[in-house]
Amino acid sequence: MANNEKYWVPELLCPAGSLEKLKVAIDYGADAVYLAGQSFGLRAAADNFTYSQLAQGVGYAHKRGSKVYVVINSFPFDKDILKLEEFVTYLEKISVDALIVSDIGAFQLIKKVSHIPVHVSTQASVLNTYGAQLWKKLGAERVILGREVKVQEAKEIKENTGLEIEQFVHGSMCMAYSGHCTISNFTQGRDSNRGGCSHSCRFKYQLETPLKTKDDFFMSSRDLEGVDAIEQFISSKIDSLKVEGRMKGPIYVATVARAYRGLLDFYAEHGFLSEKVKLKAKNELKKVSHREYFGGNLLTRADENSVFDEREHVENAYQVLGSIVEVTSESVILRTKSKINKGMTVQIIPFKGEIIDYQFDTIRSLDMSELEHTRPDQLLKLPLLRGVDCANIVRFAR
Amino acid sequence: MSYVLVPDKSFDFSQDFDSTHVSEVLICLNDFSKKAYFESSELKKISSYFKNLGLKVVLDFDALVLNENFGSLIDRFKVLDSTLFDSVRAQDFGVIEYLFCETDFSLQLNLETGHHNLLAIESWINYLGQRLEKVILSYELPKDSVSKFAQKLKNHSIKAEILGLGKILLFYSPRKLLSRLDESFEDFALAHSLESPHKGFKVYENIHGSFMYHLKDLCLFDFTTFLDENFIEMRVELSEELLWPLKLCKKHVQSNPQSYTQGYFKVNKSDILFNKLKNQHLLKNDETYIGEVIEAKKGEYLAVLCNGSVEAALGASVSLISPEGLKKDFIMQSAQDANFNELAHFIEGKIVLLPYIKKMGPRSILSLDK
Repeated sequence: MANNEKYWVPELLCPAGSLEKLKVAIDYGADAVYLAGQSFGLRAAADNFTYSQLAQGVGYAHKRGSKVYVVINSFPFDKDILKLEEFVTYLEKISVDALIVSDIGAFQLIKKVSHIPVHVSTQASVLNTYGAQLWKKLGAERVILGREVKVQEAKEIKENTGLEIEQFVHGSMCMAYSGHCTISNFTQGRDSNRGGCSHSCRFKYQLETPLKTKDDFFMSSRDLEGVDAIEQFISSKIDSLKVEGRMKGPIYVATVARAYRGLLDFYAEHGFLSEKVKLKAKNELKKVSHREYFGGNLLTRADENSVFDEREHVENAYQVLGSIVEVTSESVILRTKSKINKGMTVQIIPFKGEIIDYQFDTIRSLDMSELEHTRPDQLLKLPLLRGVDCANIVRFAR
Repeated sequence: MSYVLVPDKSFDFSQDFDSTHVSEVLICLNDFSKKAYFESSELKKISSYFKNLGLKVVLDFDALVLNENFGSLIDRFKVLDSTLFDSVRAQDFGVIEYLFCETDFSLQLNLETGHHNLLAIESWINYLGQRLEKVILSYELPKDSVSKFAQKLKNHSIKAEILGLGKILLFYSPRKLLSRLDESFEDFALAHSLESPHKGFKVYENIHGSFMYHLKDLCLFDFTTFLDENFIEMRVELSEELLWPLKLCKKHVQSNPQSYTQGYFKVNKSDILFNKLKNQHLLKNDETYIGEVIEAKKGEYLAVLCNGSVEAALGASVSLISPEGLKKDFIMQSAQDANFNELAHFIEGKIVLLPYIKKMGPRSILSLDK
């Protein structure tokens, strides 16, 4: 607990799909990040980290008091596991803080060759006290419970086992028990449990019975938003709150990390969360692309309304303009990802404090030429702005 | 060849049953089994039927169990007459741990989810020791792995089993995904993808949630000799169409070959497409990666964000690779910072401006030639 915190709050654990996103997550308030190397993770399409980037990421995090957990949560085959020892040895050398593991064979190998603490992945579907107890006996320090587990159940598991407990607080949800879906394996030839999930559960299906047919996205879950569960997480002494989304962009990481950081900091200072503070966080969370939020299973069990029976769309999300890539003695440099026209207003999201509105009365390129509009992938010079830092995300205002 | 049979609701308990080559029968009760075929009150009838034929009876306890339900489920388990079954088969690690610590039953482990490496199998052998009677291997395993794992198990006098004829489970959710629609969709539907060619997934709903199965059932009859030689028992899941004795099952398979697949048994290459998920031209090499082009101003400059850990100075031999795979080698003769001041070397985390090079747009990567 930091000196300025009066009340205990859990760790905020955010996704880092790349080195850029690691920095964003930490700068916007993550106490810890989770990421993958080039193998053994469940997001083969993410940039993931090379050895050098892992070292850079750990260095960046540790310098700022944050932790790095590396996922080794695929279900490896024998040929995959051959390279694991070398990888774990390297991770120990660069002082990663923990490994997130789902396969019992990988778990045992890691315990044999390293002293890095091991967290049991949600992919292992730990759902009850006895399951957690088994992993504790094998040497686990923490379990990341299945997303089907209520906070109340998590509390009981923690009290009964003494293990550290981590639960998801935000993000996309698998409809299936984690690790118990092989649709991609048998329909796309891509092993979902080795990083090849093709998200077939988000497809539209026609359901047919002898009596009726109906078109429905019946396997697509709404997204988790756990703002209303924060106080119960805290009173239950849940150790870590995890945000899903290593495949998502920097604006998602920034917005979500910032929103939950704000809530946890408020609680740490005041010992409660006001409705106003919760509402503010909820409104911010609605500004990133999502499938209509619900509370998951955190407080009550997900029911028939937990299905997101729509095609995915992003109309309601605030679109990203870009990010600040450098702050020089003279100017702020913005890297655009989208087109912008003169006169438009954007919002710069600072690491802390209020959102900064900025209107492009003039648009200037890197060489200070004046532009009427920009294209994506362009560098713009803005005047020095108070509160704006390198790596701040910039989005369009609405 | 030794067979493990799984009778479903349609099984005729009044028939004269040919138990030749059958070693075990797996009973799927509503409370405990994902398949949920029978009420607990039927256990005595079912067990007696098979035990009178001299068969071993195994209770299927493969449902995943949430903490909230664990106590009441164990209470229901405890009131079962334990003389009616010889072993218990489980998948949830919590159920396994409960059975291991709190009962004396012989344990059969359903390791059909994951456990694709020998270390995983050995871990369970070490943990459960003599209590481990049998391992049910994943049907995602190719036969060379199946053979290797079975040999290891045999060395410890532990039996191995694999699904030989039956449904391939693709998806297991605790949520009730059919009954939410309306009364026509209570417990079964066929699901036809409207976004891919896959039509006819079998979807079931029961007290444990919702289950989707593959369009085709798994059939490993072509590998019977292989399995037999490797001491692996074959599980056959009976149904209205698949009737015992074996020749009836085979007859059905032969008449409906389009309804069956061998899955990954010959070979599993389900990681081979992963390379195509990323642009291979843009993979970063730790030893050489300097940074990424973030702006290309035609005729003027390329702006590179130096986010690698490799340092470079003027005079260095470098190369750019575009997302399309075009490569340009050159000697770095001039560089400027974002304010157009001359630089002698790159600074990590900063923008560096290089002379413009055609066809090298944003996302191109700059590397040191070594």
